[in-house]
Amino acid sequence: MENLIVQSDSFDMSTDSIISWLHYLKPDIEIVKLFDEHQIKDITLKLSNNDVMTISINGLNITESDHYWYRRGRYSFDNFLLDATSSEFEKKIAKDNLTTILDFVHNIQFKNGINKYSDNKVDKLKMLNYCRKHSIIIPDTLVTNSIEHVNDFLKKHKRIISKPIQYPIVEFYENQNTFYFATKTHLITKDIIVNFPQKFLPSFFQKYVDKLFEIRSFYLKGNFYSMAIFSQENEKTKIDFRDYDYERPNRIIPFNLPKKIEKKLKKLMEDLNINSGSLDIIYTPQNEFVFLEVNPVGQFQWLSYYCNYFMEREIAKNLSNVK
Amino acid sequence: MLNNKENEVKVNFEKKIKKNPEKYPFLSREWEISKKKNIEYVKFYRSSILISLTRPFYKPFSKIIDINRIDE
Repeated sequence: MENLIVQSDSFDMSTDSIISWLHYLKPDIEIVKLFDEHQIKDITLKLSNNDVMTISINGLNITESDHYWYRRGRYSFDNFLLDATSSEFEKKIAKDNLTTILDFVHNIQFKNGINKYSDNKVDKLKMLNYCRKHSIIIPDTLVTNSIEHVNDFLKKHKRIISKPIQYPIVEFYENQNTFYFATKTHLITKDIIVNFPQKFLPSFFQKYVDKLFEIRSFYLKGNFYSMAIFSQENEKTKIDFRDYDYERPNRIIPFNLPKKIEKKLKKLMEDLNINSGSLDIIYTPQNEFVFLEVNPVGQFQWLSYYCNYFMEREIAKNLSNVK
Repeated sequence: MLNNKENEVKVNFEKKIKKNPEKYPFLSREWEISKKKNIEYVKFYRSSILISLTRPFYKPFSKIIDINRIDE
């Protein structure tokens, strides 16, 4: 009997769909579900030249040869005998030890795995830098804390945008409630710059790229499932298709990226050490494919639904080794 | 919808950002501040799954055309 470990959020619906497919494709598969914040109370890790790596978490035995799918959620540690009376020194020693172990656990490379927690940490700057290495076209990018440099950037490119340097949504806990701080991509104009302080927290800017259409592509272990989104003709969606127009929805079609582009993007994903993720790309009037970003744990079901890709089945087949 | 207390928290965040924009990212004035919603759709699972997963796009439909019968 094979083990499949699924780490996700309790309310993630793509997880439900994939588990349904797994039960259909391989009825005897044993699925271990680690949902939400999985608190580690007991841990034993064994590394040897003569055997596979094994790890026991709260009595659950995991080996690197298990099948594994990371979708959402994370591990955390129990307080491990720390309490209100523990000194700052005791807390620091515990934190140093536990952080090392947690990093290791979040980075385990399973022989048949899709994604891992540490994929969440892949940042835009690293992606864009790797793109340069593989000759993937990117928009000119500026990260600065100086309005003077933003101004020069705007003069040079005429139209620029700003977007979050890392996560589009930040969560913050206040007054017993979790608040979301969400930002889409915004066009930056001279008016905004004039009224802004000279120095600010370093922020992310890019040259605005005209597009014929946008491409959202889901990558799974070397294969691309792409969709073209005709968002340019709509004032509401032309900067960012996620600023959805519910009255006049964008038209979309299934799309095949050129093999040459897929080959470069595959190398990028290998460099980033991500075996699955959603890529955002622009196709320009100059017939160029411009890379924007990749989200390793983004939503993919809408792409699957609109393009009839049945990606949930593909993921389940991959996880269960069904051909 | 935010209740009064939650709205107060939201307004406080907005005031803080407005007062010291240099302490935040450039786009902080555009932040849409909202409270994390309690998930309620489990009991309405089947009807809400499409709302939650479906982005507003036109879904392309295709059909097979038999060119031998196109004149019929």
